[in-house]
Amino acid sequence: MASISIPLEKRRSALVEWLTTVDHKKIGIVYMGLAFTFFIFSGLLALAIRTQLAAPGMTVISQEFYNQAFTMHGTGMIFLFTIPFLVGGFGNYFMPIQIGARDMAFPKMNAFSLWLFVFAGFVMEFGFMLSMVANATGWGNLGLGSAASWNAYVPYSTRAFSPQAGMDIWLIGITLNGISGTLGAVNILVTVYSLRAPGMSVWRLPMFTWTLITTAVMILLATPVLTAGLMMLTTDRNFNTQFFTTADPRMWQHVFWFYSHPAVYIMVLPAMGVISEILPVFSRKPIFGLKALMVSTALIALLGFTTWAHHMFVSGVNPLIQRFFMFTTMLIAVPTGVKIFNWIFTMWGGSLNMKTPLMMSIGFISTFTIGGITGVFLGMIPVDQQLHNSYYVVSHFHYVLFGGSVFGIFGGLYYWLPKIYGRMLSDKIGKVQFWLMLFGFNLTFFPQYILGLLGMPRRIATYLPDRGWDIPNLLSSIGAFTIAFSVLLFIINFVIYIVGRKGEVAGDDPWEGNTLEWMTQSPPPEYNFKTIPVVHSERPLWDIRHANDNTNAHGKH
Amino acid sequence: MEGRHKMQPIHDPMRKNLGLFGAIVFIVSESMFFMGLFLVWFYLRDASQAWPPLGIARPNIALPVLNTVIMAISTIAMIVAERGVAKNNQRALINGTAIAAAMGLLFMTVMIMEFSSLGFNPTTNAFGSSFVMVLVFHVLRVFAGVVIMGVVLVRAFLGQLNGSRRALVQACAVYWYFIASIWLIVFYFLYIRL
Amino acid sequence: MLVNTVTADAIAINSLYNIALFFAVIVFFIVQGLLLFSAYKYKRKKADELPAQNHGNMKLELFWTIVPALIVIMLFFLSANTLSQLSGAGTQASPIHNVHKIGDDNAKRRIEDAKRTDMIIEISGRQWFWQYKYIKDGVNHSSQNDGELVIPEGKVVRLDMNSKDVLHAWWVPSFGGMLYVNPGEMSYLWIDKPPRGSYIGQCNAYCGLQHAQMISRIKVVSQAEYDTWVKLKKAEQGGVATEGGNAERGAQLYVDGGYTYAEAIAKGDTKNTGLQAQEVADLSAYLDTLK
Repeated sequence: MASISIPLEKRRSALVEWLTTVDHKKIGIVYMGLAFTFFIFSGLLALAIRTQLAAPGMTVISQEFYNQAFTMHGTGMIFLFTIPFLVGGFGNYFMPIQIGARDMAFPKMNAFSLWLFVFAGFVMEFGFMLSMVANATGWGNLGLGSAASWNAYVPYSTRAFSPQAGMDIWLIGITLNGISGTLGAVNILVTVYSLRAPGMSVWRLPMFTWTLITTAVMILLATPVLTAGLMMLTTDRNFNTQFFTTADPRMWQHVFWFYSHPAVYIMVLPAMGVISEILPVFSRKPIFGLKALMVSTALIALLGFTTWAHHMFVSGVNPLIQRFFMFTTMLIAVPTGVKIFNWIFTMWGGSLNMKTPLMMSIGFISTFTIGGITGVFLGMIPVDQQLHNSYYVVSHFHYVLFGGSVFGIFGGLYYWLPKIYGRMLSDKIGKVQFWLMLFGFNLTFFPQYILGLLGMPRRIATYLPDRGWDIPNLLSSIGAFTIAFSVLLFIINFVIYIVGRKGEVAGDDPWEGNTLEWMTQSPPPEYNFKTIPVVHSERPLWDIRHANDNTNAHGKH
Repeated sequence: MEGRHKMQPIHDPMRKNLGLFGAIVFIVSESMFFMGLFLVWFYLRDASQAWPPLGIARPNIALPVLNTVIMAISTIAMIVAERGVAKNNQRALINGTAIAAAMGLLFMTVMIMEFSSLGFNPTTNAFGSSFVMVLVFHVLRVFAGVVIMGVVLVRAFLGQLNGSRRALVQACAVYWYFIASIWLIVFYFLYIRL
Repeated sequence: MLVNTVTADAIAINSLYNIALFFAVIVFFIVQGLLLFSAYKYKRKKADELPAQNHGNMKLELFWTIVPALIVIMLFFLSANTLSQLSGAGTQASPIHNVHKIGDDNAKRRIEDAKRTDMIIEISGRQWFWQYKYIKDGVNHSSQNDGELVIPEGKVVRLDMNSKDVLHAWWVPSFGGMLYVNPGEMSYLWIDKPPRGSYIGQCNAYCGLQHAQMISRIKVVSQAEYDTWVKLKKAEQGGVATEGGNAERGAQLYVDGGYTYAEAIAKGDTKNTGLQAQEVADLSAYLDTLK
């Protein structure tokens, strides 16, 4: 609890301090650091995959390793990067400050969630890495990697077809990760419910906090169902229970997608929250249609729970049920569209401060739109019966999750790292990174739409030269390395300007921010605020900055 | 730099109830976990010709009925404890919690007897797996509830709980009511409606 | 936008795709246009400029809620319409469920009534190849060693599919449509009157190590070529094949001849095969197409 005070006289070494911290900001930083490490690792796997697919019939990596690589690329990016970075990292660090709290509601449980995440992450990745090293050095096959793809469809993931221990390790890792996430979600909801600053009513919640609580609700409702399914699969594999031996294979698919479809929104909603913070600040305007954005966020979350079986249009689900899921799936495009137009009209008529965070946000809107539109295509059953599991799908969800979440994360990093470390990143390098990333991203994934239309299935380790897939694949691989280079630029930027302290001193509020995190110092003190601020509108800092204006500039409704 | 102990206190009535609210939110996720278990139960049931499958005897209802009574007594004891602490009645708190915990232990014992008396086990077929899985995960919650009651008892003996510091008791109670409700659902679907 | 669509199913899916693409392109240009325009037009010119503090506009909100909603609802109905045009779909009100448990006779009867079918091929998905069984013609075949699924042109072919191990999915993009092939269940797809040509498909549900090698090659040929191919296959199969309903004669042919039809024709020695002159000509023509 927050009441526990650590006497300053009792100095601890830095390492012990980081390992035992219950401060939401330090926990957030550890989340971000680890999640980013997993991002790099999973990204390297993507490079291995793209190298293998650059030309037909390549044997750069073995088929076995390829199958493990795409499994770990997917699970790593989803469970160890995107969700923990946005929810555990940005969420932990900024949500309490944005609502004017001094910490999370349950700081010890927060630390427990973090270390459970760390443990789960290493459980998931360590066996795979060991296997990889063993194979590379010729020690033989340790069987500690999982190769059942991220959806672990039965019966392939049962012991009969995946006997290696790696599959169990993977299942345990995902289960623990889910428990960590669920506890984190409890913490977020209790914190926002009970620790808001005076005056912080529901409609005055910052958009990032709003998307975060929506996300937390989704985690809370969806993750335990997956946990139950994972436990059943684990006992089937290890204790000879019979859940998946006689049931039709769709049972696992229902359980899996009941979590994993909402998981898509879990990954993208907080990133939408990030750009909903950036756009009004860098446009020097209030966000357009705040209530519409908040309601559409909630609607997306609600509808997100009614669309899972659209992943099963070719699995043999009853056709009338399929039609229901087609309807809900197509409907979810509407609140998503509302968001896109509201973001654009936030910029419309504004005074745009063309810095990296804003450019990343524009990149988000541009690429996410393409992902959203192609999502409607895939929601149409006849089209999905043609394009399910093809590279069209791969491209679609990368447009949503890279074009959306990753652009959002980098936007958030350029926006918030000055707050966390008190130094500015280089805007010049940031802009170069943005253009390279945007170009590389479209070069990687747009050809994959074409590959899908040409009939290329996903998860294949190689392909024949007579299929006409060579050129799009080559372009895609070149694009992947361009993305990698752009991420490298970010790391260089971070190392020179923040670690090397070359960046300008940020000050409390380098961007003319609207929300409470810009009220305190950079980096914020352990207790965040000397006095808890009182909030009068959704832009408390704007109110302070324009307190003496008599113009129309007032932030209140 | 100011230390934490110099922080301005937050005068927010919600703060006291963090534990209770946390327990309620946590219960939502627990409910979803059991929903996952039951979804599988119903999915398997609807997909099979007979439920329980042919050759599997219907489980005897005697021990579960006993357990339902035990759960009811336990719940009443917990209500007494919770009301007691609200009125600063330490005896009601300690006795109520102790009885509730004892009933919880008894419930677990009866459940172990139930497991050994079932004519099937989790490896028999999907019915057996699903049946036992639901019971096991419920009895694990009972165990967790008893552990929390143990913490309540210790803190009650130490005199740390009273009318104005009772979030822990409230959280423990609400979680225990949740476990009891889940037991009713389990009892209904696994025994009565089988 | 789909490539090389040859059957009515594939063409129907393609035209649905193109209608959606029409709206998608419009939405795409509106969004990207507004985005780029505002990014270009409203760049900050003076450090202290203060734009009008516009909080929103209810009419605009309603506009961009209702118009997209109408578009997706229209696309929903178009999709449902296309869906009922596809092979073996049944009616809108009672669509055919084309996957059922093995042994579910009611479901099987519904499949048999769903669409007039000229021939049935049983397909077994295995790690990592497809086994083909031509029910009427008694031919067994597989996708191993580049084995082709040979079917006659202009026929309605029903694929009765089942998996012997893990999940697989049947997908030949040119024919439109895809379906999972599950253990313990039958999955049905129709190839509706395909024109002559060579087509290629691939297992599209990840099935393990050699998933990428689980390729299905389809060759649609004339009825005459098909008949000859059947004879050829039956002869290759020797004892298990039948000749004119006579298994013994089939076996004899193979044994007596000492080699397959193909070899016989290559050597110009068709005496022992018992083939008619016309059949030899057909066979030779067919074998030429294989070269």
